[in-house]
Amino acid sequence: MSKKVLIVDDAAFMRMLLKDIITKAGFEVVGEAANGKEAVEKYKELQPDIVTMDITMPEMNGIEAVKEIKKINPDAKIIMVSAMGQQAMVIEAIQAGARDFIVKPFQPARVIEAIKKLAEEG
Amino acid sequence: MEISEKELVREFEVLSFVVGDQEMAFDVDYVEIVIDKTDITPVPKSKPMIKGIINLRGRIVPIIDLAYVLGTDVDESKYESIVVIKYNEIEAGFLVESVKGVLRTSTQEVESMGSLEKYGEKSKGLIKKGDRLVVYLDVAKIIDEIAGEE
Amino acid sequence: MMKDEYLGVFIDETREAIQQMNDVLLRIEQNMEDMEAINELFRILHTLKGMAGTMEFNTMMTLCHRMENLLDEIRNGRMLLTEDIVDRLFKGADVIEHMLNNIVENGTDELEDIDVKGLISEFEEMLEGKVDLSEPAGKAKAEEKTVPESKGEAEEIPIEITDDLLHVINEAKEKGFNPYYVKVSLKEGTQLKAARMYLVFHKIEDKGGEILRTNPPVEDIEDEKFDLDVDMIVVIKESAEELSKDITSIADIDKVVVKEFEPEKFQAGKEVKKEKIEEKPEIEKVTASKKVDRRKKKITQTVRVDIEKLDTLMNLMGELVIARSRIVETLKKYNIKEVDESLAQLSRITLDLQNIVMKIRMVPIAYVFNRFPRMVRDLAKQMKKEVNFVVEGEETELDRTFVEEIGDPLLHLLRNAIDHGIEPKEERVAKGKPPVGTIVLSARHEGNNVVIEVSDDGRGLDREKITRRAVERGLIDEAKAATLPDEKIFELIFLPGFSTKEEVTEVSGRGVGMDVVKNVVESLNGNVSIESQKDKGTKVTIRLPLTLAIIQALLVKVNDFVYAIPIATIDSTLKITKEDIQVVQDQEVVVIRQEVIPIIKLWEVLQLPHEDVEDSMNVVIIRMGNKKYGIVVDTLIGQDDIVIKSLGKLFADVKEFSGGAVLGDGSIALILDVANLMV
Repeated sequence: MSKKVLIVDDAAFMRMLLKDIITKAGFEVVGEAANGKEAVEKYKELQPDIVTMDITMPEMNGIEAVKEIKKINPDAKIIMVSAMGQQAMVIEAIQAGARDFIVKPFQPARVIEAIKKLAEEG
Repeated sequence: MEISEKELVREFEVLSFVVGDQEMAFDVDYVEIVIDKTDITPVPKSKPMIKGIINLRGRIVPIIDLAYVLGTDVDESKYESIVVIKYNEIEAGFLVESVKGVLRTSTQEVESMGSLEKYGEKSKGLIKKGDRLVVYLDVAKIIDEIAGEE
Repeated sequence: MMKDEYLGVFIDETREAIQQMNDVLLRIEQNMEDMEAINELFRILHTLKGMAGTMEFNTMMTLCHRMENLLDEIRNGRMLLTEDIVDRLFKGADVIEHMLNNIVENGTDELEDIDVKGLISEFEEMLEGKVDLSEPAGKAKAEEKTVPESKGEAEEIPIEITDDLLHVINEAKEKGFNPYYVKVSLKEGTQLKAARMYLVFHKIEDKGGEILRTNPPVEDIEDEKFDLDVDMIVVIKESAEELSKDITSIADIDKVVVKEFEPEKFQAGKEVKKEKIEEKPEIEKVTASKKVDRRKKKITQTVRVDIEKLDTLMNLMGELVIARSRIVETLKKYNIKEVDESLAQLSRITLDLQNIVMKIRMVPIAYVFNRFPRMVRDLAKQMKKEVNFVVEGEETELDRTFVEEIGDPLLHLLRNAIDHGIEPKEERVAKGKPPVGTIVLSARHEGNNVVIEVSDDGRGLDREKITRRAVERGLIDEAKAATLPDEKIFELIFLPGFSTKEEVTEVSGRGVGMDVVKNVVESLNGNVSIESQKDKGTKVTIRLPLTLAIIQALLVKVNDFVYAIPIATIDSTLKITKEDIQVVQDQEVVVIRQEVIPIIKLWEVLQLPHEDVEDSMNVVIIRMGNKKYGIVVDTLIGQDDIVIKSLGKLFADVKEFSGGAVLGDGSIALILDVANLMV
């Protein structure tokens, strides 16, 4: 069974782009969320294997969302989606429990690599 | 049109100072700041009434010897202050002996010069305030005259 | 919204990228085999594509993408680069620029008046109809393989092994930990390397390991001051294989080397090995710092500051200076000696700050010049002229306000040079001139001015034609024109109404005439002059006075006052004695290396009282064009950066000085106008 992915990003374009890449690589995108709050709700509801999480978002940002999701499931696999120059925030997210990150503008190969590596991990 | 004499009277303020033992004044509107006399860098070959330049907050401001302009003799060591004015985008400082302060006066108190005609157009008249006689100088004319001289 | 947040950066960066694209394209046009340039263009397009995509400007992204694909084929030898393709790429760059402008104005990259789709499909067609050169393709693959894959396993550990490190390792071993030397290499092009490396550290610590030492040090890793490799000493309970596997599970890791660390080796052969070990980190250090330097340089080039912030800074600066003066004045009354020193220091710092803020406002004229090579190329092509365009002095700095204003007038002058100046090839050959015309655009500091020149080696101005037109337009009467020298006739072209709409061609038109050029320059308190010789060429010189210009000057002293001489005008300095001075035709001269150089004493020129000097005198030799003369001064103080300030209208009659400068101690130095000292 293919792994389930939840995409979190406030830009519809980004979600579309990611969904495209992820679906083509054979994963199932089970849901999308446009902010951190929505992400936490969708995580509870859909129980995805992997989450891609944008950092800068309205309502609740990505780092807060990671913390919330980790409370629900300490083993949650979250990949941060960062823009250039957000190094410090990425590190903060990793400290909060994110497992990997990809950088915008992304190259599909990198996105797939990150998701595959996480999927292979137990 | 009825314009009574009263309505022609306009109140205004001048900054009064002493040059060559004579009390004189500029319109306060032109006055930017009064500073203590500071080091003046002479500018060789400039006009004789220009004593040089000073550094005023990073700006270069020419310093004018008012006594020279007015044709009076002043012991230079008596100069203590510089009245900095700005007119027509020209900033300039005038060396004065001491600054008396702002004087509130009105057109009623200004008389034409009469005996003080030697100042010619450089003066707008004489301000009579009690027993004080203040030469009311025309900053604009003075600056125009210096700038126009070649 | 993220989009809004990054739009400013996106616009700036895209603008920069477009500029780079044009520069690189020009290079490619010069040399179609310039692989480096082709690769660079590919990289620029790639980045641009990513940015446009992120910003959701999809048309721009698609266009960039197609162009990028095309270049990829070319750089891999699967397609031949032709002039046609270069032209098309130029066009692509233009369209991207249009898109950017449209984004700035209307917020969208969709252009109504340009057929972007057509252009995109043109690129697609080019790709499909590509020449299939299978051999170079194979070659490209082979090349790919030779890309350094491994740097070989480090025999020596590039980490300094200290005694306390060994101590800690031994202790860890006792507790069942295994010490390893680990080398982690990131993939080429990895983004956010520091965060990536942090993931590695996080992973190791997650698995109960501890990182004892790293090379480069952790601080540098955090600051991204490393290339791709990081060496470390790790203690962990896992086996080497497990550790290696854990690290490799992180994305973007190219290679992991895990080796058992044997502290015994270091302890036993310590004396012998020490030298070797210490040698290596030394070398590493050097290369590391070199890299850091390069990065630093890059940062200075790309720091962006909102211009509004600069203006605010400038205003705040002014207020700071005023506040300082107030403090100084207040304290004077109390005459407290203790604060004098700190006050002097405060004054110095304030002045330095002020100078720096002014310097920040200065930008290299390259900001204006950069766009011209591309424009000249296009115009020349359009006019079917062959032009070699030379740009000089791009680094000359001037206040940003000038930069904004001077672009259009310069463009007009360049257009004129191409349109009216440079002759068609055949005509040039017939005249015995080189077939390709040359246009030189140059900038330099000269005294208190920035001098910008546009010169061409074309046909020159036609006196008869100008006279005829001026008479026709009623700008001058014929009789008077006949009496005027060439220069005066040439100046007529600056009069409003000289050029008319009918003959405004597409090239030199757009409603800008020479009168507008003159107006703009004069509004900046500058002046413009023109020199021309029939069949030799034309030179237009723009002089901008720079109240804010910062120049390097030699400070000299006469009597008690300091004067500044612009370094750019100085040939040399020397010491002479009275015996060295000879008098030739009433002029004092010195002979230096068989060269007779007239000298003037500064105090005499400035009519200052001064004693006769008997023994040694300092002479500053000034060079003006090919003439030289010497200025005798009392002392040479030294070189300094000074901010030129105008002396103002009251000194309009003083020709000896071009301005004044406030020195570090608050005193003023008059700046000598060396062009007007020697009569």
